[in-house]
Amino acid sequence: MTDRVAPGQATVSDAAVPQKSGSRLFMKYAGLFVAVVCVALMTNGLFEIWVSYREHRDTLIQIQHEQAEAAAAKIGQFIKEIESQVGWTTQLLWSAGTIEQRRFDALRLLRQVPAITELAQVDSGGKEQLRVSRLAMDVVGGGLDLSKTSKFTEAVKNKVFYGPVYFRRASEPYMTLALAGTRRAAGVSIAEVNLKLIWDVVSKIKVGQHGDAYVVDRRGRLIAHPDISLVLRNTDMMQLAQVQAALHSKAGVAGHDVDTATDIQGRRVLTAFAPVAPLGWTVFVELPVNEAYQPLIASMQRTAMVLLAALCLAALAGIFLARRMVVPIQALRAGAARIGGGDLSQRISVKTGDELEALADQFNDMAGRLQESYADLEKKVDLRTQELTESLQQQTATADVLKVISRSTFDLKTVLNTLLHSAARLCDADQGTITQRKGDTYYRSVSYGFPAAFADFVKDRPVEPGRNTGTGRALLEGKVIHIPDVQADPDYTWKEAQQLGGFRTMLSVPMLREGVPVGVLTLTRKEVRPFTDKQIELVSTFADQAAIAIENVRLFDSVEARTRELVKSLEDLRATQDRLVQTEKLASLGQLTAGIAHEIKNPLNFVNNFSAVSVELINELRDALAGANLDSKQQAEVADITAMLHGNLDKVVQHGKRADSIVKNMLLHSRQGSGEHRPVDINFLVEESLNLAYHGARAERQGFNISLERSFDPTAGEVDLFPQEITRVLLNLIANGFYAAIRRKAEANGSDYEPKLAAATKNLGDSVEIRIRDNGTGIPPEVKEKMFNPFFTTKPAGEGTGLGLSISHDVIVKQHAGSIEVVSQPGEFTEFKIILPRSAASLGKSGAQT
Amino acid sequence: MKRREFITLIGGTAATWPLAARAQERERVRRIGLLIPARADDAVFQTRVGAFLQKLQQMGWTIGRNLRIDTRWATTNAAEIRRHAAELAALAPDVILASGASTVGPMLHATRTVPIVFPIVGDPVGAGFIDSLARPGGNATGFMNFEYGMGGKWLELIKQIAPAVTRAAVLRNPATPTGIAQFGVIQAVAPSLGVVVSPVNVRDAGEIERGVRAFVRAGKGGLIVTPSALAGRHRDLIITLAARHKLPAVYIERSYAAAGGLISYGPDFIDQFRRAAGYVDRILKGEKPADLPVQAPTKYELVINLKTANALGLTVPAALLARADEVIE
Repeated sequence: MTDRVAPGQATVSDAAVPQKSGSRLFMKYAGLFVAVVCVALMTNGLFEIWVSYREHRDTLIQIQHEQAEAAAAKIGQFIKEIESQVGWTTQLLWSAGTIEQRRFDALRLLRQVPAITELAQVDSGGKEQLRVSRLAMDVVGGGLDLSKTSKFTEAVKNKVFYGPVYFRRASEPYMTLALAGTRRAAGVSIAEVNLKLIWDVVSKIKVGQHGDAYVVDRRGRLIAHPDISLVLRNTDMMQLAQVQAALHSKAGVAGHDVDTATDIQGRRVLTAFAPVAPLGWTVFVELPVNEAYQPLIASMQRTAMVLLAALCLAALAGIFLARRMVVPIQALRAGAARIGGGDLSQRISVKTGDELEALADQFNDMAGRLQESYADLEKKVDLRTQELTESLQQQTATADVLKVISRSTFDLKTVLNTLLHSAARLCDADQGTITQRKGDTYYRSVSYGFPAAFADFVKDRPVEPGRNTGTGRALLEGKVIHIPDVQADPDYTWKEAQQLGGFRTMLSVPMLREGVPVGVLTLTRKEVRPFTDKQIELVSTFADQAAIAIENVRLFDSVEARTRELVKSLEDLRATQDRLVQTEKLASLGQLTAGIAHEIKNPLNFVNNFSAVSVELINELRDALAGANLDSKQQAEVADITAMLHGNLDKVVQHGKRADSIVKNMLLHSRQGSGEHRPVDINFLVEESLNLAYHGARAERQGFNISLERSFDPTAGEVDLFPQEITRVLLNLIANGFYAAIRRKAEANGSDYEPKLAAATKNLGDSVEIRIRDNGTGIPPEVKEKMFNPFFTTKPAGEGTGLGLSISHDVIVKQHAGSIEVVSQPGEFTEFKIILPRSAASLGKSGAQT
Repeated sequence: MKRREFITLIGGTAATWPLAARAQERERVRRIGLLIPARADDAVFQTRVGAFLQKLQQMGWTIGRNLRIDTRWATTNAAEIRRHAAELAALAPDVILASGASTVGPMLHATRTVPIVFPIVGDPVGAGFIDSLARPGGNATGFMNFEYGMGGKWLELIKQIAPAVTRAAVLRNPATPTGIAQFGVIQAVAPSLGVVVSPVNVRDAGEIERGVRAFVRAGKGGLIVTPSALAGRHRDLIITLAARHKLPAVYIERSYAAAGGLISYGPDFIDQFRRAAGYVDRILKGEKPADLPVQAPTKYELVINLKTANALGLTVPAALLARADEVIE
């Protein structure tokens, strides 16, 4: 079926090429025909020409000869005529009385024979007796002696004498003709013949149209010629080859060959000659070659014309015949091209009644059969195409569905809806449902094409695996259930659904996960029309997709939950880790501090002791020196110096003590805690701390008095904490509060100021709030910033380490994951707010690993 | 398609053929000039010129189509002849036909390049018109109208027809060398016939009359009229005089005998003109006059006017009659 692609194109290009080959065939045959005819005609023509040339030539030769002979005869005749006329004058015998008669005869002769210019009559003795002339005067009885002249003697001897041609006045040709009488006594008549009059004879000799006959004497001088001026000009014809040849040939052998030569006028002529025997002249008959061969040329022209005409005819005939042959062939070729191009409907029409027609019929036959088989194939192709289109549609739909699914993977409802819709549409189903597992039972969760009544009907009815419903059967058997007609199926008993839905054909496909149905995809049709295998396959695909989708969602959810849990634990872990680190730090710090304190304690002791000893020594020295003999200046110096020494050493002792107390404080603060954390009643802890602090302060300072307020939340409950650490913190804060209050009292100095310290607890659910409030001096803002910094204190030197708040902060925040805040108004109050989480989860490990 | 081309080719060729042929015919128009020593009303010359033109026409030259004729009737006046000769020469025609020595001479003076054909001239060699009869050379050729020997013949004829004649007057044109020579020839043979000759000049009518009258004072006279244009001019006068004075006269040409002259012996002048036409034709076709030989007459005709003979009371001998080519009765 590849021809379908571009049949039109094919025929166009095809048409271009065979046009040439078609006309090539045409040209071939036409040309061949013409060539054959041409060759035949040409051969014939040439042969004819050749033959006719030969013939013509022979005829010409013959004619020329005959003409020459005839001309010679005519010339001879002319002379003979004159001769015979002259002969009349020789009849009278000479005697005295005959002179007048003779004269009369002579005059008559002159009149008769215009050619004779002069006639002389000579007696037997050679004496001229009478001369009659046209031009000269007549002479009678002149007595001129001619007996010795050749004209007389020759005439007497031979009876006739033809004299040589001579030219009068170098122009006029004359000849002497002497004739003797039959009787000797008659004497001789001598005539001067004006040969110009031969011109009449010669010019009348017709040699073709333009041919000439002319006469030359034995010396080659032109005697007679149609153009008399040539004669009068004394033309010497010896310059002509033919004349030479003729004159040189042996007398008597008349050349019978017709030569081609040039005549006196320069034309190429065919020349023949014949002798005018007794005179010794030669007559030449010359015919221009053109004219001679004119008939031949004319014949050749005729042949050529005929050839041409025949060629034309042959060409026409050839064309005609070739066309008759080529046109059917071209029709065949065009038809074959059409068939090749795919157009099988047309039939070749060739009606020549010969093999070509048979061939055309064969072609048509073939085209017909091809058409049939094409039609068949076409049908098959159509069918297949339809099927493939369907498949493609389904595949596309599937792909689309999958796309949708992939896009909205976690929106299960949408996915299932889409699946059902697509499945129903593609399988040409009227209705459908998807049944999903919910917990332990299956419910029809998604429906399509069913009336609302049916949807309500089935919404809450679980599907039981069983044979009574299509879906149930699918669940039960775990394979595709195809019921062509539910009414015809004896196992199908769910009549209500069927009535509500109005379906007849049913297809239920279970959605399987690892071989276990997790749902069913059901499609139904209102009329009895079984689903095709392809459709069943498609639905199965969709069902698989649905199963996958459901599974995906489920997995996703569980993953989500797990992830959330993990994130939470991770966070807890991190916080705990931080606190642990902090505790470790504190522990190590405490360790360090303890270590240092311990270490320093020793040297400090030495310093203190030795300082004390040194003081005593100085006293002794003073005493010793008091007894010595010193002058007053020296004694005063000694007294100064010892006083200075004393003072210095006192300072040393003082500061040593201070250092000692610092070390003690440090040790105090770095004391390792209790180690364990446990739930402790917070109110109890606070109360305890309060009492401890109050009694401690009273013990330390006389006259210390402060009113304590307690407001404990009874629901504060227990808090899981490090009790000793928290106690320390509370002690610290309380102590600070005491200190501030006392200072304010000192500043107030007798006003109505009552130092007060309040402690409060509050239950905040999973955390507890502790508040310590004093109405002391308050904390200025710049101090508030720095108050939790280690070693920062506002107490005078020797009174505080600056570590208390810092450590408290760390304990609360880092060890207990709580918070500590301070609110203060300088000169009014300060309140510390501590929030501790209740549970143990957020506690760091105790730093009890020493 | 090639059929059509072929037919076009054939048709085209056929169509152009006659065109090509016709093209040839459009040759240039030739001009010839005629210088005639006679008046335009001279009947004899008219006949001669007519014969000449007719012969030309026979040879394919049609006046108006390919030929133009310029005829000058120059009379016998030498000055007129000279003038016409100059004019004709100035026109430079292809050929000039000049009749008689009286015209050929002045014509040759006027031009040496324009071909001149003379239908009648007595002695062209002697007159210096040509180099020789066979090859004239120059630009003039033509036909002689007599031989000097004829002078004797004429005398002989007079003696034959009128044996009583013992004196002859020779009418001649003394202006031309031929005229003089002719007289000389006749004079040379006269004694042999026993005739005494004397010349008469024919320069003008008056001279002729006087001459003849003077001649006839003595008796037994005859006339020999040598050929010259002047003689032709005064033909009738001469014949009248001859008749009046009962003089037997011999002329050269038939026209005299036809007009009443007694006897004439000479060539056919009309034929001469025809032959001249042939020469003109040849010259027009390209031949050079130098190559065309001057031809002598071939035939001489003897014409006898019996009426005049009877009027003169002469008996024509039988021999003469037998000899005559034409007898006018």
